[in-house]
Amino acid sequence: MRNYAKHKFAEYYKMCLRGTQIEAPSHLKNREFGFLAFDKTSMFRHKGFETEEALNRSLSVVAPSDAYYSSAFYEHPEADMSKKDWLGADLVFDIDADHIPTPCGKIHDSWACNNCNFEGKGPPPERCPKCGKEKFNSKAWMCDTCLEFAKAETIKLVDMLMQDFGFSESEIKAYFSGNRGYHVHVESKTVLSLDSMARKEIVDHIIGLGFETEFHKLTEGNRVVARTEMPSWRGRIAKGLHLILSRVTLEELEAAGLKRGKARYFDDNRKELLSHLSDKGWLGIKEIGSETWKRIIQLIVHQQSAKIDTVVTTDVNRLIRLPGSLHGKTGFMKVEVSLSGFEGFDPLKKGVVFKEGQVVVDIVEAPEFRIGETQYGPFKRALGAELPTAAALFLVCKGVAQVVNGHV
Amino acid sequence: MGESILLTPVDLVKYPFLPEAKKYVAELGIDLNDLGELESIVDRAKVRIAATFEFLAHMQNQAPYKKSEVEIAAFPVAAFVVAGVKDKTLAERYALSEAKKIYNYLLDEKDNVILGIAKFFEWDINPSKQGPFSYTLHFVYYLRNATKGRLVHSPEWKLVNRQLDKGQVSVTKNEVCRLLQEEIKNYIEDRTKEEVTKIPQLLQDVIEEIKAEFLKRKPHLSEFDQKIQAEESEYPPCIMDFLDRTAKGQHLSHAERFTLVTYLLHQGIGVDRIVNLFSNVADFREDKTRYQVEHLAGQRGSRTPYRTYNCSTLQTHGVCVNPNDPVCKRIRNPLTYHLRKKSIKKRE
Ligand code: SF4
Ligand SMILES: [Zn+2]
Ligand SMILES: [Zn+2]
Repeated sequence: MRNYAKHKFAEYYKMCLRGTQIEAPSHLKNREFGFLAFDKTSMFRHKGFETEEALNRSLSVVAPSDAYYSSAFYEHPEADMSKKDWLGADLVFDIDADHIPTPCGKIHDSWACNNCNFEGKGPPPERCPKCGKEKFNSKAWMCDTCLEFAKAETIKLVDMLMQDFGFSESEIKAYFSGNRGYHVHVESKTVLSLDSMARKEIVDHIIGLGFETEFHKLTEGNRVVARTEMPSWRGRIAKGLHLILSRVTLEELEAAGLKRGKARYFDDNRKELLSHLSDKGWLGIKEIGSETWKRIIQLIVHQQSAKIDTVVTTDVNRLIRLPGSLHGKTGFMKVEVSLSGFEGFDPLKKGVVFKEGQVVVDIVEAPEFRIGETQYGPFKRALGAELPTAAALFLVCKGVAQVVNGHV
Repeated sequence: MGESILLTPVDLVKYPFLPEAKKYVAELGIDLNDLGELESIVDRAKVRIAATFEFLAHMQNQAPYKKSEVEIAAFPVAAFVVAGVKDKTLAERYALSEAKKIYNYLLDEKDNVILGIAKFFEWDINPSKQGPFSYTLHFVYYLRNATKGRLVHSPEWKLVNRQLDKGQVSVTKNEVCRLLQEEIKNYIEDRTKEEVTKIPQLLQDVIEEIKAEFLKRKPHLSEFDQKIQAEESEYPPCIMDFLDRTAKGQHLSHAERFTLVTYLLHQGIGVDRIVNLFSNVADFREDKTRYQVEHLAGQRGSRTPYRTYNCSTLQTHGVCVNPNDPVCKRIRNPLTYHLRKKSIKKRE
């Protein structure tokens, strides 16, 4: 059923080879490449390329379902792992809706018990409610909501990279991953040699792990000294406090560990607290003691942190998706987002490669989804549906549709 | 390495790892036929090394030798001898003891010496007057050292708890000295791991002597060298949880699998048994699993087994299940859980 996908991917890579070639990563000769074949049984790893042309040629021949390159540079990229001689690695980040709790998961994600086929919505439960087994086949989809969540996290991350870490705009590249999130690559000579431990500290800074109020001099005596224009976490706490006073819900406060009474007080006196905060400082509010403030600050840290995949960034031998290549689970392209154009960026438009033609498909089942300006579905056992190429390819890649013979 | 600073012989006694020290000794042209001079250098070298493992016979005279050229020359000789012993633990301990000594000297120095030494290591550092902070240091050089030694375990060194503005971390003078200690330790350690050739007879004898004395004391040096293995009932909560879930055929994340496998390998569990553990997992493929376990065991490629992550790392990855366990609160790495548990029991 994936023959159609392989065929379209090959078509794309051939087109690249002849036209605008897929850009090779910097330091091409020192990078390792890995291609995942459509039959899924084999990953060709430890490949190396001398030229951009050779890379493009190989892509067009293999037509991989997914193409990756190493964030690391090696002396011998084609050697076995132990003989590669690591020279350094870019700093990379992955933000995926999988790691962010979103309200839409319940709507478009589903699972089925491998044993009894019992089905449900959202992420799979611990055990099947019907037969008690614990193996599931789960399907995760994407929609505007989860992509927006991922984008918001990415914007926070990029802001930290520039403001806290001082990377320049030219050192940071952001991409739509082609599926449920974004990738951010930092290419800067200064970070190349950082080991995994040092990268872990960068991760902890970004996700706010280990943040302890007492080291941040947020108050002096009775006054709040953190101001929004201050750098790094102090500034973010100040910003977050204003945000919380105007927006947070009673439930969120209780979930953060505030006692009901305190949460009520906070909720009922937002306006007064806000003005109190700007002229008198927070510790001066006798109803809210330092323990409660600590909880509130932890809540702010949680909100202001960027939810990145911690494993990707700390792994100095990671293979990451090649920009310009297609994602095997969607048929979308990993495409760059300019840092200034983030707000208006539409991944479900910019990631589309095939803009022409119609294809007839039999669809098993799919939730509602959007590509470009058009909304599709939901589908349930839709036979002979005629869809634009990108939508058909998307469903085929998702494994829920089959092209009707004679329409390839 | 970076630019040089103007240092007097008195300074060089304190910082004998600097290239200026090497130059100074070379220019003196110490007469290797003058056995008296040579012997005092070798003696001082022995004192330096002995201090690292309480080899008492050589500890009487810790104060620097009155002739600075002898003291300065003793440093490279000591490094050479340690390299000749070829023992990782000794190299580490030696580097640490030298670096600690230097840290204490640095505390009393003025800006120019501190900056000079930092520049030798090519640090991006600048003086700045901002509250209690005397310097700003680029986060790369900060992290390179704040993630080493004991620093990695204390919350005040965590980057998330520092002032970080446009890549620069604010640090006090004391903190700079402490970070330099790590940098220097690393530098000396590298030197003592170099391959040594053409060993003069006099030094060959010293190497043998130090080696014998060190090996005698090595077993008593630290808890870390202990090879007591844990009973299954003494495994930490995270490992118990992973074992439980694996047995039920549930999926473990990459970090969880890595932790479980490296932990079990360190407890002496064989590759076959570990591979079998995963046989219930949905996408189990014996060959793939075996490949990964063997890789972690060091049987493929690198040959050194991977170390289990520290608890703090596992917390980053959301793998730690119970940091509130009373034993967990007192350890840094799951590998020492059972040792700590035993020692707590004993005291009760
Ligand atoms: S503190 Fe360490 S040993 Fe204890 S559960 Fe967490 S990771 Fe495991
Ligand atoms: Zn079932
Ligand atoms: Zn969604």
